[in-house]
Parts: sequence; structure tokens; C-alpha cells
Amino acid sequence: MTRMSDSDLRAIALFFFFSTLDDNFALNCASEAHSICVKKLQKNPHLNPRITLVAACLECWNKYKNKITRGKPQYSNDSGWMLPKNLNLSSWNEFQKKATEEELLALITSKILNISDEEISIGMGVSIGTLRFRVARGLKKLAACLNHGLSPVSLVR
Amino acid sequence: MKMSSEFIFSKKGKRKLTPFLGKELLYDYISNRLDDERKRAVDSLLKDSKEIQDEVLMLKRAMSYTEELAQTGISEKIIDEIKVPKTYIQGFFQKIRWSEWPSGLKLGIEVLTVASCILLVIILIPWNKVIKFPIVQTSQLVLSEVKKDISKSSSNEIVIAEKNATPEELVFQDETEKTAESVNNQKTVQAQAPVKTDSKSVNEASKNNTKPQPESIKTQGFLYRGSIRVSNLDVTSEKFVKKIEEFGGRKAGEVPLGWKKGESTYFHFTIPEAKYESLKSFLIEYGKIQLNKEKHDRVMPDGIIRIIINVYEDKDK
Repeated sequence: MTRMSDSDLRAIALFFFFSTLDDNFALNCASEAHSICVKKLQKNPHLNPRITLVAACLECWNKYKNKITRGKPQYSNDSGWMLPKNLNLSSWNEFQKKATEEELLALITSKILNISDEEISIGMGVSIGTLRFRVARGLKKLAACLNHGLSPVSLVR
Repeated sequence: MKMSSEFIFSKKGKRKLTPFLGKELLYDYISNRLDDERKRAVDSLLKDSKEIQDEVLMLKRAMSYTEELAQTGISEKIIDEIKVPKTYIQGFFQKIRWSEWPSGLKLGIEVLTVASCILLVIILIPWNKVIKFPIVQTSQLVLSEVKKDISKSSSNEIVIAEKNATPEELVFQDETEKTAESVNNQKTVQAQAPVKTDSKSVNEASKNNTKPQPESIKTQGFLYRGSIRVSNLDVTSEKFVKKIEEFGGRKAGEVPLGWKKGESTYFHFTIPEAKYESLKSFLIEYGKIQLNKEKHDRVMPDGIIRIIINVYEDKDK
């Protein structure tokens, strides 16, 4: 299978959107990751597309991660990224700024892209335990960011 | 190992799961990945610790937040852009966020680019060759005119006259005087030597005229310049004018032959090259003269030379 489904393309796009918070940069990276993915699948059609997707995203991330400015989101709502209504991205901005690279990528792949832990661990080349640990740490940090956003409300109480 | 209702973490028993360890197990606890034994231990910890309860709530909130993020949709446009591999230029424009630039700035840059391209083209075009190109065409047209005259001429004598004519007889023909001159040539030839010709000779003559002659193209012109001291300047100058005209000389430049220039007279003229020696020997009779051949930009036709002579009054005599 060399042709990727639209859900795979969406997963690649979301991976880079939430990891960079830069719509243009995310688009460029996603385009490159997609072509890497297609090449890998053409070379070996028996590869698991999801594992290949994770590996391609990680490869592309490692290539461009030094060019990403964390904590300075650059996206507009009319650029094609349809965020759910009433969703506040400020907590995610905060998390994206504070989280380590491993926590950020683990949380995105596991909780946003909903790829199974086994596939992620093979794609990233880490054990399942390590992955879950990273996700747990990431969730805690995200929870702290969410809690920080609600602190004025709790003061009122 | 026998399991009791109370979880035993040591051989001595009754040691509960610490909050530190319990916190690390919370994610797996929420995800239902713990075995029964550990799940019960975390449950018992949750009952006692408010801090752990808060942490579980926070984790659940974070997870529901990620579920919301996962609902993010992507337009077809983005999907298409990801599918189609970008060219370098497209990537460059996207990188510099060209679409987000102010329209005035974009227009300015576009105008500047177009102007630069035009300027570059203007600089790179070899204008010298372009300008010279029509001149070459003109000279070709002159050649065709000659051809036309030959083809038009009905009498054989005209062809022969042109063929036999010396350079002196042909060289001074201005465009306006050509016709008259050619008629004179006809008469001269007819009077001097009425040659019988047949159609073959006419054809040969026409062939000779039409064939391109392998002439060496002159690129450097020359000018003869000199001065002479004579007695009785006015009278001698008049004689010089007459003699030069006799030799077929014509004034060159703007001033007439023998133009008075202060205390001297000035002769700037063209003359057939064949008459050069005769002119020189004529001038020597009046005084010492030396004509120097100098390089000059103006290239004269074959058989024609240009001379400038300054004549001074010889006060010693």
C-alpha cells in the first residue's frame, strides 16, 4: 500500500500543527513527512502505515526542530485548521512551550492522533513503558497548564 | 502466594502504597492498564489522599482536553497541499509568508523585479551589432542597384563602357550624377573604340558584374597631408585649383579649394590615386613639398585618396 489515506494525512498534519503551532511551517513539514512516508511504503509495501507515519514524522521533526520557536504560535483560524469551537489553545501554547520534546511528541501521537502505544513505541524506537511514562508526564504538565489557566476562578471561589 | 484483602507490600505486611509511587501509577490507573492487585492498592490510596484525588481529576481533565484537540479538522485545501510535492519556489514563497505581506510592498517588489529584468535585457543586447545590421542591408541594396542598371541597359556598349572604364571616370559619381556620367561614358567609348560585341560578351559582362568580387574589405583609412611654400600665393593658388580640377580632384570638406586661411591657402580634396604622382610632380615645380600618409578614421573608396595641402607664401624668395 503506497497511497496514504486522508486520515493518515490528517494525522501527519495535526502532528506538526500541534508540535510547532505554526501553520505554514507545519504544512511544509507535513508535506515532507508525507513524501518520506510514501517513499518508505513504496520501498516496502508490507510496512505498517501507522508505524511508518510515526517514524517519518519523527525524522522530519528531528530535521527541523531547531528552526521551531516554541511559545510563539503563528497560525490563523482562516488558514484551513478547523479547531473545535470554544476551544482555548492558550493552555496548549503554554504546554508546548514548557514540555520536553519527548513529552510533547508522546502526548500528541498517543492522545491527539490516537495511535496505539505499540505502534508509537516501534515508530519512535522506545519501549512501551518509556512511552507511557512520557505520556503520563506530559499529561501532568498539561494538567498543570490547564489548572494555571483556571487559577483566577479558583481564587474567586 | 496467598492474597489477602489488605495489600501487603512487605514480608512483614501492612505496608501501604506510598503517595509517591501511587502518583506514578495514576495514568495507568485511569487508562485501566493496572492489574487487579495494583488497582486495589491505588484505590485504597485514593480513599485516604486528597492530593491523589486532585491529581486524578487533573489528569482526567487533561485527557478530555486532548480529546477536544483531537477533534481538530483540516480543510481539503491543506490535504491537497500536503499531497502535492512543492517546488522550490513555492516552498520559498511559503517560507517567507509572501501571501501575508502588505499589497503595496508586494507591488513594489514586483515592479522592481520587472524593471530589473528589462534593464538586464537592455544591457545584454549587443546594440552595436543591432544598429549596424541595417547598414549592411543598405550596402547590399546598392549592389542590387548596379545589377538593375545592367539588366535594364539595352545597348551592349553601356556594359562594355562600364567594364572598360578607368577608375577616374567612375569614381566621382554622386548618386544624382550617375545617369549623366554613364551617358558620357557611353559617348566616350563609342567615339574612341567602337567595339563589336555579341550577346556572349554581354552575358559574360553581366556574369562578371553579378559575381561577388573577392575584394579585401578596408578597415583603415588614410589621408595625405603636407605643406608647400610658394611665391606669389594668390596666383599660384589659382593655378593649383585649376590643375587639381584637371586631374579630376574634387573638394572634400566644407570649404572650397584654395580657401584663404589667414596668410595661407587651404586645399582639402579627393583625387584618383592614379593621378597622385602627376600632382606631386606638378607641385614640386613650385616648391619643396612632402606629403605624409597618415592614418584616418574615414575609409575612402578604392582608387581614391584624400589630400590636405596648406600653401604658404615663401617670403625668402
